[in-house]
Amino acid sequence: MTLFSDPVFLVVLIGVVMVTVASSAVGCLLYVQRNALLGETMAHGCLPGIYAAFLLGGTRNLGWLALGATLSGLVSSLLVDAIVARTRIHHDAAMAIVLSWMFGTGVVLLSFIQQANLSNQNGLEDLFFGNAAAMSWNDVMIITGVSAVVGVLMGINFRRIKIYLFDAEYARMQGVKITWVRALLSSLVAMSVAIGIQTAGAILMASLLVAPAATARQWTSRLLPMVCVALAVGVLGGTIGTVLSCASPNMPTGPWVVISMTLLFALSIAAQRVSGRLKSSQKR
Amino acid sequence: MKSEARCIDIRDLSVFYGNTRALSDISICLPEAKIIGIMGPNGSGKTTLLKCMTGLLSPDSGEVLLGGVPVGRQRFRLSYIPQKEKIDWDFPMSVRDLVEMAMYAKRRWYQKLSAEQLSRVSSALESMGLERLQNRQIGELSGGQQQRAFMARALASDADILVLDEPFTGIDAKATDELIRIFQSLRDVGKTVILVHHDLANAGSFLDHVVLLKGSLLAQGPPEEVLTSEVLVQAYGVSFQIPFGSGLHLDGGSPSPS
Amino acid sequence: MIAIYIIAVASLVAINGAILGSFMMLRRMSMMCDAIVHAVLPGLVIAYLFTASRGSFTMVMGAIASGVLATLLIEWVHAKFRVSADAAIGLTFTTLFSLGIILIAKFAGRVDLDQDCVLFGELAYVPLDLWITASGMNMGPRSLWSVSALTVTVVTFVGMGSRQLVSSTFDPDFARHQGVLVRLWHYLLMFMVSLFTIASFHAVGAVMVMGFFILPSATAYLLVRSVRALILLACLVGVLSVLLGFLFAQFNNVSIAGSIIFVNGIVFALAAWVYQARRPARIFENT
Repeated sequence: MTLFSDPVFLVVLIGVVMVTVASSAVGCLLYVQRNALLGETMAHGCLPGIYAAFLLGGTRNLGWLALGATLSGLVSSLLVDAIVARTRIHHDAAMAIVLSWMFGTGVVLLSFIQQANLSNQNGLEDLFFGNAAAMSWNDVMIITGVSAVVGVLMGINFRRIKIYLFDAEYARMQGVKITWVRALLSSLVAMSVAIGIQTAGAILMASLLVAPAATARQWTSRLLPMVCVALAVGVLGGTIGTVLSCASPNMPTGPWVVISMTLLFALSIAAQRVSGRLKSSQKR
Repeated sequence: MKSEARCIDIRDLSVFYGNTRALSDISICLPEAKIIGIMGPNGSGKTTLLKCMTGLLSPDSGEVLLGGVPVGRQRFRLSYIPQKEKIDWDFPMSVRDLVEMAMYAKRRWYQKLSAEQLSRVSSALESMGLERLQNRQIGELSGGQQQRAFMARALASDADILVLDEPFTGIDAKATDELIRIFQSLRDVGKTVILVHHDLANAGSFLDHVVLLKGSLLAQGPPEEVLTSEVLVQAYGVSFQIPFGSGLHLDGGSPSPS
Repeated sequence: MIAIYIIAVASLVAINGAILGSFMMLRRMSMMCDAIVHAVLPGLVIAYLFTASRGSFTMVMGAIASGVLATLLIEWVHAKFRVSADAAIGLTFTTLFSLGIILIAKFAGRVDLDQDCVLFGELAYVPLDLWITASGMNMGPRSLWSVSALTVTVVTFVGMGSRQLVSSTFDPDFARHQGVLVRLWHYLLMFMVSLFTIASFHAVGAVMVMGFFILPSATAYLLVRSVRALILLACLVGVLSVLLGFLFAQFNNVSIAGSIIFVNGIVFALAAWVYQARRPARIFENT
C-alpha cells in the first residue's frame, strides 16, 4: 500500500479517475445512441488540433492543447454529419473517412513538428498511447475542471438529451432544439476525449467511452442508473489500470486501463450469468 | 388442379428460435399456378415460412417438397424477393446488373454470360417493362419499378415459383395495381406467386389462395372461405369486413377470383 | 530510384486497399476494417516472439489469425451478450490492440517492432531494406516483393470471386439461395483484409492502413454506378493520391504516408463537391 501514499501516484490517480468520470458518463449517451465509435473517431480527430495548438502556441500546457483537441474533435463530428447529410455515404464509412483523414493529417503535423526540431516537443508522441505518469498537478486541475463542466452540462440537460436520444422527432415536437442538443452531445464527447488523451491515448480512448457503458448496460436498461453504474465501473477500471501501469513504469498507461476495463466487462458478464442461474434455480 | 405433382407440399414444419417456437407443425399443400397470400398478425411466422420454402432456413423438423422432391435439391425453381428495407438502394448497380445477378451461379468466374443468357436477361427486363430503365442505378427507380426489377431477376433465373416478402410496402395505389396485374399475368402463364401480404382490404380481390398463420396454421383455402370474420377474430382479435371481388382498384378491371 | 521504389510500394498498397476497401464499404463494414487493422497487432507480436524473425510465414499467419479472431470475437460479443455491434467493435479492438502494445513494451528488447513503426510505418525506409539473395544479387526492396505478392493474391481473389462477393454483399439471402457460401466469402474477405493489413503496415503504419482502405473507395463511391467502375476508379484515386501525396511530403519534408492520406482526403472533398453539383439533376428525373 506504499503506492497509495506516494504523492506522485496520487496525482496521477486523481487525474485518471477524473478522466474516467467524464468519459464513462458521456460514453453511456453514445452507447444508447448506438454511436459508440464516434468516440473513436473524435479521439483520432483530436490529434491535428493538438499539434496545431502546439505549433500555434508553442506550449505544452494541457489546457491549451485540450482546447485544440476539443475544437478539432468537434470539427470531426461536424465532418461526419456533413458527409452523411450531403452524400450517399453511410454513417460508419463517414466515421472511417474522417477518422483516418484526421489521423493522417495529425501525423503530417507531428512529422512537421519533429523536423522543425522545436525545443519542448518531447512527449507529444505519448498522446497516441497515453502516459498518465507524466501528469502534473496543473494538468489534474485542468482535467478536473473540464470533467466538472462535462458533468454539470450533462446534469442540467439530462432530460433533453434523453428525449433526443430516444426519439429525436418527438423531442423536436416537445420544443427541444435538436441542433443545440446535437452540438451539446458532440461537445461533451469532444471535451471528455480531449482530457482523456493524456491518459488513454488517442488510439485507445474509445475503450474508456464504450467499456463502462457496455458493462453498465448488462445490469440496467434505464439511462440514469446506467450512467451511475458506468461511473463506478469507469472509476474502478481507471484505478486498477493506473496501479498496474505504475507497477511497470516503462509502459504507456492506456493499454493497462483498457485491459482492466475489459476485464471488468468480462467479470460483470460472468457475474450476471452466475446470478441469473441462481435466480432461475431459486424460482424452481 | 391439386394433383400430387403440381403442389408445394409442406409437411409437419416446425422452426424454433432458441426456445421460442416460431412455427409449429405446419402442414399445407399449396396449389401451383396461383397467387397465394400468406397472412397473419406480426410475429406469426410469415417470413419464417417463406424462408423455409426457399431453403434459406432449414426447419427444425418437417420438410418442404416440390412435386415430391425436397426443395433443397431444386432451389432454382424458386426465387426469393426480399423486403425492400433489407436492400441497400445506394449500391452501385444498374437494373441490368441486378437482373444479370440471376446468372452468376451458372457461370464460372472466368466465363462471361452467354448470348442466350444475355437475351434471357433482356426478355426478363422487357416483360417487366424496364428495358428503357435498364441502365438506371437501382436507387433511381420508383418503388414499383424497384419491385419489378427484382421480379425481373426472379424471372431471368427461370424460377416458376416466385416468393415475395411484403411486395406492396412503400408503393402507391397505382403501382400496387400494376404489380397485381403482373402477378396475374404470371399466374396465367403457369407461374406460382407466393407473397406475404398485410392489407386485408384488398386481399380478397386478387389472392387465389390464402394461408392464415399465427404461429401455427389457422386456416387456408380460397379467400372468401378463409377471410371470414370468425377466423379473423381468431387471428387478429378484432373483426373486419373483407370486400371480395373487384371494386377496390382504381380501374376496377382486375378479374375476381372464382 | 528511391522515389520510384517508395511510389511503387505505396501505389500497390493503395490499389490493394482500394479493392478490398470497396467491398468493405459496400458491406457497411468500414469500421470493421478499423477493428481488424488494430487487432492484427497482438498476433504479430506473439508470432514474432516465437519465431524471432520479421516477415516470416509464422508471423503472417499469427497476425491473420488474430485479425480473423477479432471479427469472430466481435460477432460473438454482439450476438451472445447485450452489446450493440458498434460497441462490440470498440470493446474488442481496443483490448486486442492494448494487448499488442503491452507485449511490445514488455519484450521491447526482443521485438524489432517499436511503437513508432506501428503508428507511422516506414515508407521512407522502404528502399533501404533490400533483399539480397544468397548469391549476392540485389533484388530491390523487400516490401516491394511482399506487396506485389499481395497484389497478385488480392486481384486473383477478387477476380475469381467478384460475382460471389457482389451478390453476397448486395443480397445475402438471394446469394445463399443461388448456392453462394455467404459465410465462407465473408470470412475469406476478412482473411484478405487481415493479410493486407499485415503486408502493408510496415510501410504505412497500422492506423494509416485505414486511410488506404476507406478514402479511395469512398471517393470513387460518390461518382460511379457499378461495382466494376467503383473498383477501377478507387484504384485510380489511390494511385493519384500516392503521387500527389509523395510530392507534398517531399516539398514539405513531412511523413509520406500521412501526406498521402491528407491529399486523398482533399480528393474526397472534391469528389463530394462534384457529387453535390450533379445530384439535383438525378433526383428529379425519376419517372
